[in-house]
Amino acid sequence: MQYAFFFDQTACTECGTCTVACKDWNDVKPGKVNWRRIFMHDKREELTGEFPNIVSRPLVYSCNHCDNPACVTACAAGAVSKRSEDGIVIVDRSRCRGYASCVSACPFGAVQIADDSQEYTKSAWLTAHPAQKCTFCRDRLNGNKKPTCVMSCPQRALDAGPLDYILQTHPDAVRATEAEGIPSDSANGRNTGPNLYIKKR
Amino acid sequence: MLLTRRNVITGIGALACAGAFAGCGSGSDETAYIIADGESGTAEPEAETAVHHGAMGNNCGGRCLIAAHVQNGVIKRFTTDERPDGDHTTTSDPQKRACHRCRGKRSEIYKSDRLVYPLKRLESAERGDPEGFVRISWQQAFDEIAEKLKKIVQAEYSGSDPYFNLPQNKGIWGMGTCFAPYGGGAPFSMPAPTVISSNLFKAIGGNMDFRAHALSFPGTYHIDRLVVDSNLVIVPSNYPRDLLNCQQIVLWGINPADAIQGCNTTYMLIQARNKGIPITVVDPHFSRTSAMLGCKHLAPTGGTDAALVMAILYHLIKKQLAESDVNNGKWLDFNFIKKAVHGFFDLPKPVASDFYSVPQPAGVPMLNPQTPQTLRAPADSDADAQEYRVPAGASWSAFILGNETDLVAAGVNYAASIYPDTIGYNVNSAQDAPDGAADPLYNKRVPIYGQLPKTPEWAALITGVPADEIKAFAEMLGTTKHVGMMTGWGSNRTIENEQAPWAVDVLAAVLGYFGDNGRFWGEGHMVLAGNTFTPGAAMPAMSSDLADRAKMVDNNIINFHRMNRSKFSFTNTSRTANGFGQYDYTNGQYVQMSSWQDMAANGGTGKSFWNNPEVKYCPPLKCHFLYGYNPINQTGDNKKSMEIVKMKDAGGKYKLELIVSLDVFMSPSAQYADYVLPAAMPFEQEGYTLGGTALFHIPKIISAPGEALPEKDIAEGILKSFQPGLEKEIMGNKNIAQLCEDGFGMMEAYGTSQGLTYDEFKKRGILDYASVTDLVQPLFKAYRALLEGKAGGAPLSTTSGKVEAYCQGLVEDYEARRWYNFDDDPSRYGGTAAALYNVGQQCRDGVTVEGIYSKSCNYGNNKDDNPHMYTSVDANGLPVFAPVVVSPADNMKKARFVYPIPMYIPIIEGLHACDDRSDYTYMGVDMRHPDPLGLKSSYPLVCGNHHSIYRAHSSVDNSPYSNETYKRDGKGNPAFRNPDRGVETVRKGKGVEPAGELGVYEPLDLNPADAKAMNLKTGDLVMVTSPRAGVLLSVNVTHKTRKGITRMAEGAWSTFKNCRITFEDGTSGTYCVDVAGSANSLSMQRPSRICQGNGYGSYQRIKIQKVTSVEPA
Repeated sequence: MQYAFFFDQTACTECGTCTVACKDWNDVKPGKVNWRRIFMHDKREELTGEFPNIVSRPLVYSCNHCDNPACVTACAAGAVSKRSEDGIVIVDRSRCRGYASCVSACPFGAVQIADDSQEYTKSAWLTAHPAQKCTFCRDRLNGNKKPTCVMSCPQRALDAGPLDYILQTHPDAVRATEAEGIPSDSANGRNTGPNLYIKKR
Repeated sequence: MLLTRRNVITGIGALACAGAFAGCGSGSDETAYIIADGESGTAEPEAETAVHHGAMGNNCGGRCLIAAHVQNGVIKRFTTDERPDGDHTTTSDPQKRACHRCRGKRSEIYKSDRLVYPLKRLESAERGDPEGFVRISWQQAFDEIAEKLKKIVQAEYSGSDPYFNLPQNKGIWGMGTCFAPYGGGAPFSMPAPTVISSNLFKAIGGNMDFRAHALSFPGTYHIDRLVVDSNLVIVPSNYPRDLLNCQQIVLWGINPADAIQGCNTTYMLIQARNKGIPITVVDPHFSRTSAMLGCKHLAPTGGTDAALVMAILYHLIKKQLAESDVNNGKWLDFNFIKKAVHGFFDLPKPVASDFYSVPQPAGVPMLNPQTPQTLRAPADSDADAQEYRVPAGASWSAFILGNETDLVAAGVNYAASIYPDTIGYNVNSAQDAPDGAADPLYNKRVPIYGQLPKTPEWAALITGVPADEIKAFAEMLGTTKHVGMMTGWGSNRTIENEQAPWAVDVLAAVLGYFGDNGRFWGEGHMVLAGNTFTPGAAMPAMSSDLADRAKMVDNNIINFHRMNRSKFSFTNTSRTANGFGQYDYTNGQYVQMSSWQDMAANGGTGKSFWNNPEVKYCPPLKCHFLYGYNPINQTGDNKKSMEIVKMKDAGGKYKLELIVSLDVFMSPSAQYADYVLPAAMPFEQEGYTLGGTALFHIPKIISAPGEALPEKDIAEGILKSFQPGLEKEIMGNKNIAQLCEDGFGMMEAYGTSQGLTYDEFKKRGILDYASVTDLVQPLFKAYRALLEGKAGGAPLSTTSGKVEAYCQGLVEDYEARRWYNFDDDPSRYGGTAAALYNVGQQCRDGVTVEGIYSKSCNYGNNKDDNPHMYTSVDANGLPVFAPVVVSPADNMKKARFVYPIPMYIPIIEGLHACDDRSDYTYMGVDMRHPDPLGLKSSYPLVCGNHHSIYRAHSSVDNSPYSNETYKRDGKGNPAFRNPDRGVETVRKGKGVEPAGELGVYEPLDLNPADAKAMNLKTGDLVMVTSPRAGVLLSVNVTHKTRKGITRMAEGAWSTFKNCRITFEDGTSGTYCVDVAGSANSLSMQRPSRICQGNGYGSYQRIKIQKVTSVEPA
């Protein structure tokens, strides 16, 4: 089975609730590491039209838990793995050596390296194993709860679950690779196959 | 509710350690827990986390559910409403999901600069000096504050008002010199606000009353009460779920994606859009709401909404007049309008049957069932009716058509517009001014286009909305029956903040958007206002001694109102269980909150910065008690406010003698306080909070940090020092939980508790009013029934019983507050007809004309109810009236400044769309913005302000989680305030300056065309300067704002620092700039024309300079 995210481009107000909820749940301190990110559309060419006739196409995503995750193959320490039961890509921080090859491998910038200031404690263990990214709130899934970002969105612009459920519930969504503005999923000659489905504007 | 043990992943996810935020132990053992499990990185500890539902109570416009996950007395996480999601189309309610503001709360609650000790400013230190604070004990704080309060309230003041100089009235001013407005900045959960301002000040003698909502929507509030219904706070719409029943939705000046406007309002708009209901947004800003909905957007240039409304109506009037049967109602239903709206058409000889008898019959829901306002209508007799006439050519439709006579020819009106071409400002001459310098607006006039037809072409030049789009929009509105027009407060955030809300109200009423499914106008989140009663806190039973004291206070307050405001201005001074004014919307019509600077500097001197009689004859402000309130930041012109609180009298004492701040952080206002008292936040004390369609219980689940106390304990402490034993009498010897229970008991008494006891409510955590089946606002349902002759009909509580396009009462109210408002020569400025009957004559030389509105307010016809100025008092202390002598040489005063109809009045620092066009004339008239202060050449751009999802006014501005989503460093990268600030200062009992710091800037939205002209790109650091002050901002280039208009969010904590700044052109200098970028560092303090609400959140002229380097000077 494969889990996937859904994002509704027509319902997102770019409020940032999901990003804050993600950091709060996962105890990521304020700083550049941000497991779920908003790509402010003001800065993007996809924002078309002139005031006040503007078409807005926001984009929000985290790790897309790809079919062929580039981060997994890139990690020489074997710290990144894709779970067979649900397709979630996990960084085992205890095995991370900080090579950061996963960071450059991921087309979506999903895997990130925290600096010391962003760790809750300055303990040697944490700073020695810095790689981190979205875990699909695996801890919440164990309690039959959707990821905290999904449950936080005041406009219900996010959803998550088994791929079948996503496709069935959101039939008008397309795979992220067919949406505008998102980076190509090409990495080292392969397509990673992001499990992100977008209801396009 | 308990979560089962979670099997948690490797790494940081296991380290649920909120306590680490605080940098100080809260008595928990989270450190041990991290070491035990974090190091191994394999699993979360064997621990159960308790989850408590509550709400935070930001003053954000919403109220949503947040769930605190608590372990060992520490909140580890916040989540939101994860109960099963209700179906939005049925009677059940969707989850009340909290936004950004609440989700980052952990980083606020445990922030390292939370105030933890009582602080006192040393006598030797200047106000505002963060180094000037020392830690004191609570007892010392209580004793000293009580001592100073006693001195203030018992002092004998004298002033410009002879009434107060009578021996028997000496001392009455005392309690009127204390001002304790509500604040949304601190905990803002009930019953706390009432504990401070009502219980504390009731006990010591009362406090100055203020007009409710003077900061957010003073214009809307003033207008809605006078022209729609005197019981309103603002016009309430149907329940938000009724959006799904509309054929068309219009969002006028409302942006719920940022300002929430009730939990799930944006969500319901999405559902309506997805259902295929077309939506049009009218907003000068391309808002977050508009961007998401992706619908039609009309963008009138900031402050020009009223021009757009009039052009819509002009087009519909002309379309209707072109019909062979002018009464067929195809575009505008003239017969319906005559029944529903007063003064849209001329009514020169009314008879009683033209009006409806008010008061409203019993059974019609009131805002506050305790103190319904009743007006005596002119429907009582034909003679009375004559006094509420609309003279020929004075109606709004006459004004809209200008010099065109089509409506006269059609037999609808009796004359073309009698209104003049220009209007002046009721401001100080040099003789009037406190400093002897005339107001720069003195003798200036701006166009109101009284004789011009308000065509779509006319409006296009002003608003920038193309004439064809105005016509299409008008025709859609005129021919669509079921329109839901959500109106916000955006249109009221200008210096002319009364005109646009008035115009929009009447537009909706004229088109019949009320009282039916899918037909409404107003604010969705105020829907409860008409239906429920949720008290602040119950007042404990008082001893007879205290009851006498309270009665004495009441009498004094009433005396204030009698003497300082006309009785017929719609003030109700009756005490309710809510206490004075707080959360009791029918009280609190005294001074504008935003007049506080003027009152501190000039109160009672007979002078005012702004020629404001309410300040001239009111007590001076001596004590400003800031309950989570941040007035220096949240009213106009921060720099001037900072200077005013430092003003000293001849004896070297501060004129504003005492400033006490209860807060959770050192806000910009707390920095200027004499005592800074650390308050507990929600979840650190029990409480409940109302918002949207629900009442939320907030349990006490964690301890307040350091020595922080609940407000109730602070109030008790001060009372005990004031007079031992008083605290027990006032607070009834009850704890917070008991006070909450008492408050809930009042809801039971009013039948709004849904049959729950307090314990049941506590257990459930939420009391939800969303599950109603009748979605139509009862007030308007009854009004529609009246118009259609059906059972259950009731008029609106206005003088005419209708919505008032022509509101004589508004002019009378203005004049009753002692503003001069008459013109001896109405044709001087282009008007063509005789003086407006009964309007503008209240203060005229020797003329005694009493308005019908005064009679209708149940105040009778006693001489002392007369609004005339008086110059002395007789032996009984009653005023002796004398004619007001106005210097004939003073032409400025021989004019009207307020008219009985809504107009488009150009805002002082605004712009017109045609300003940079070559074809700026219309029918020979130059339509460019008048720029009365001549600022355009020095300040070429306009900056507009808006509410932001990232803050609740100034709350949440210092949350690091929140900061990094929008604040930027000098290069445009995400930035947040130093999370460790305060560790060496407030945590050790010292002062600290507000959070602003170099390198963390607010964004400024700038249109690409403007950016290109100034060679600016996203991420550039700029100094933005208005005629008031300068701020540092980070540029964000975006099509979402109009060329010529920049925009920034309100609420950042102004922090002025001396900086050495180098600009791109190579020049440099030392500037005292607001590095945090508060919108009010740029805005003006000038009050608005009619209601004297502050124009903050308005539009101001600015200039932009690109900064290449900045360092502390």
